Amino acid sequence: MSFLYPLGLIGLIGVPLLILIYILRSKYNEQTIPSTYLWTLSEKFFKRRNPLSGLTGIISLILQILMVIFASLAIARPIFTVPESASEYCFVLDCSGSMNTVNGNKTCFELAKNEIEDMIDDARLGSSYTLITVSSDTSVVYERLTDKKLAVELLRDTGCSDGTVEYSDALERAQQYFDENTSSLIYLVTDREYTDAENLEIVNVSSQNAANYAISDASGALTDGTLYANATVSSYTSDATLTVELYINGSDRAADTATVSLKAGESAAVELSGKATAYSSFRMVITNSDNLATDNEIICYNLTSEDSYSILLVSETPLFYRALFDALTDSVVDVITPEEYMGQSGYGLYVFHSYTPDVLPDAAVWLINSSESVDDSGFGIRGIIGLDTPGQAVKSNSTSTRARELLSGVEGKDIFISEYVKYSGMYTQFTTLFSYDSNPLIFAGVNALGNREVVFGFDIHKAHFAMLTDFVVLLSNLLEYSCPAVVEEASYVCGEEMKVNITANIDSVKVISPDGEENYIDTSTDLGVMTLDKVGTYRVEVIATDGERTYDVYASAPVSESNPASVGSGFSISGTRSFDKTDGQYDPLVLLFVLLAIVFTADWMVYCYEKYQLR
Amino acid sequence: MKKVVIDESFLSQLERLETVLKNNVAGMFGGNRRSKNLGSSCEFADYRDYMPGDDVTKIDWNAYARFDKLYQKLYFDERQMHTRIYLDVSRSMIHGSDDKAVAAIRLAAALAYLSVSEMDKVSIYAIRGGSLEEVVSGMVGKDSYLNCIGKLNELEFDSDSRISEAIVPSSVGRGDGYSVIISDFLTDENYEMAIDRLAEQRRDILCVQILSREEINPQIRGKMHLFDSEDQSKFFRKKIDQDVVRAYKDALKYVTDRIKLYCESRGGQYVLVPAHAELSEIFLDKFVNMGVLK
Repeated sequence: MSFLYPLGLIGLIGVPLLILIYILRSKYNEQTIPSTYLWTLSEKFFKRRNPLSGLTGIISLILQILMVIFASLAIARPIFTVPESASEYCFVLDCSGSMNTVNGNKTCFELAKNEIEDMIDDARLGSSYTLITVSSDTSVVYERLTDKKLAVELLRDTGCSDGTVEYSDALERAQQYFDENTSSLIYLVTDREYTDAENLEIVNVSSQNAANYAISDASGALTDGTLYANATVSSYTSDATLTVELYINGSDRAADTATVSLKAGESAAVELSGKATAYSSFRMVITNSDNLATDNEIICYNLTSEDSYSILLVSETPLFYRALFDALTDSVVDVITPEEYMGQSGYGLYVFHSYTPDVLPDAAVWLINSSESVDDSGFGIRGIIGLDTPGQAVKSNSTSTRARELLSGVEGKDIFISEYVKYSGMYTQFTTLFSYDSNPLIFAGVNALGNREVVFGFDIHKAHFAMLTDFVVLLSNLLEYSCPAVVEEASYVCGEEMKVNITANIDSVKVISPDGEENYIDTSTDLGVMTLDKVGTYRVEVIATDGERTYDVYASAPVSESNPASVGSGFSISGTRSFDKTDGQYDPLVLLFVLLAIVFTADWMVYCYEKYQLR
Repeated sequence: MKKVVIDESFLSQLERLETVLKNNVAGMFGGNRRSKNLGSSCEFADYRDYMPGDDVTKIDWNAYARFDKLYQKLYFDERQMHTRIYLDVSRSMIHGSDDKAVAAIRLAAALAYLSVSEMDKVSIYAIRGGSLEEVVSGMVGKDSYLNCIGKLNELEFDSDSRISEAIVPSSVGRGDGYSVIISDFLTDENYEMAIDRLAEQRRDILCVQILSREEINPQIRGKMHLFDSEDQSKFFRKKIDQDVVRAYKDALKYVTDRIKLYCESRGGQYVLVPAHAELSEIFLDKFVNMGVLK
């Protein structure tokens, strides 16, 4: 036994003090009476009536001593060691969208937290707790925490997402805990039925019969002044006749309504239409109430014509590039000669052809056939290498996202060059698209100023690349890369990552989630990413040098989370389970308080009995 | 202090009462008490055949005229009784809110008056420690009563009392009337031997236990250290609550029942007299109901 606060035992001094007070206080009134004969004789009768009469005189003292002892012990907090009674608990908590399904008067997620809380409460003191939350990503809320109270508090603070659930990472972690301690008790608390589980216990909090309807896969098209909105509606557990309504441009009045009759487990396509010459958004809603509200609505935002760029082309021979830019983009293209270039600002993209500026502009930049090094460009130049016979450029086989995007549609065959620039000290974050003799010929990335940069290591005029279709496709890809729309996609499924292209002129990007939470996206890279874990509209507020822009994107409920009766495959934690336990602890604080209350009540009753002779 | 205060109307009421004796009357001297033996009183008892030598004055000549045979008239004998009153003069009799001593003296005086009214002889003894102290001896007649009864006022209640030790060795008489013991009987000393002795001597026994109001129904509560008035070495120290008082009452009942049973088993009578009770109530109610008086 040990004490958490041994100083509390000082309170035991109260025991001798109490006895002393009793001795000093117990003054008897003296009186002479005719005879003590009857009183003395009464003792026999008294003892016969009250066998414990010997205690009655000091019962109050005994009770008060017990009170002092219990109170002192309660303050000192004795902890008893109970051998082999504690366990290591690992809870894998499903935080996916389906856990928001209402089961009774609580959601499945609340029920799941209650289950875990009960298990923590019931666990022997000295046990350790690990909580892993799983939705589209996995996070460990706490690991081998022994503080019950903190474990429960952190559990209560845990929120549920609206996204999908991906267990692989969580199970990997659980496997890790199991490998470290094969007597770990692993619980998967979820709302899904799983066919098989090995070395872990599944705590199912689902309501299999909960009614749920969902709408998904919405899309819209404007034709002849009419918006045609399409979506798929589903009823999962019961036959239903669903009413679907369409609202256009945030209107409160439904533009169209449709009724769909579905058998349990069936889905059907629904098309609604409304008059609109243009639209910023439309919303489709199932008006029937069910147990999971997040999948009854879907909104589509229209992001067309959000972004425009101006391009400055600095070249002695701009004709070819000018024609290409005019063909590939709607952007304004200004053309000047190198002599005219004075560090002009205000352009989204600077294209330097066979010219190297003294200072790189603070914007996206293309350096075509630059023969001189420039600060912050992210590379150095060794020199210009001439080839006796044209050499064949090699397309990169990189599997990186950027390489795949920039080389999309580019075959990369039969590109020959007669002269190229040899580079040195290239930033590792550049992605090489084409190379010759292991020397990068065309590469793209972010320079030291944080701006997107594309470098061509040869002159178009000294290669026949410009004659190939690949050139047009590549330039188109590079233009999209250098002049991206800040938000390219307005419809996501919850759990997906929203991508925000960070262009040079962007100072900050703030994302306001459906529940009002504000987050800022890192603008130091060229691509900002944020996982959308709530169903609803996210507002993206972009502050750029040329003004503020706002985008709305909608994260819809994942279809996989809509079915309350879905059955998952088996879970398996490999290994042989053991049943060893560690030494636990027993904290008798509650017991002490109960005893204290009992003794206090008893003392109070004794006092009342003596004072008022209650019967 | 006037301890003997008995008003005249009460005395005149007493004169109409008579003590009931159970045992054979066997006094030495003639008196008012009819004996079951035949004697020379005026009260006719029976006839028997005349025998030569009988007192011719007691021949019933009317019967001779009718039956032509001589019959001798027989008469009851009448004897004078000797009432002996034993008074406990221990300190316990004067302690407490009610003066048990006064009640005891008044009771003794009243009983004595009753006896002298019946032409009986009365002796009053004080039980002082283990011996008897003669207060009034052989008092006969109301004149003597009035002359002697004042001595009761001079009694000092300042000792302990050992009833048996005092009565057993004394001359208690034989079959000649009442022996009355007036005490609180709050002692663990043996009183049974005294009762046995009196019963042996065919005395009519009357034990009068006088208790104060506080002794019958104690009101004291709380932590008490009670000392015995007769012996300071005896004490009772306890927190007195309802349970203790209930036990006390059980003890009181035990004591009174025991005395009563013992008296009755020896042909005697027992009466519990609250010290605050009126004499008229005791005599005209209690004693009459009990058959001590008629």
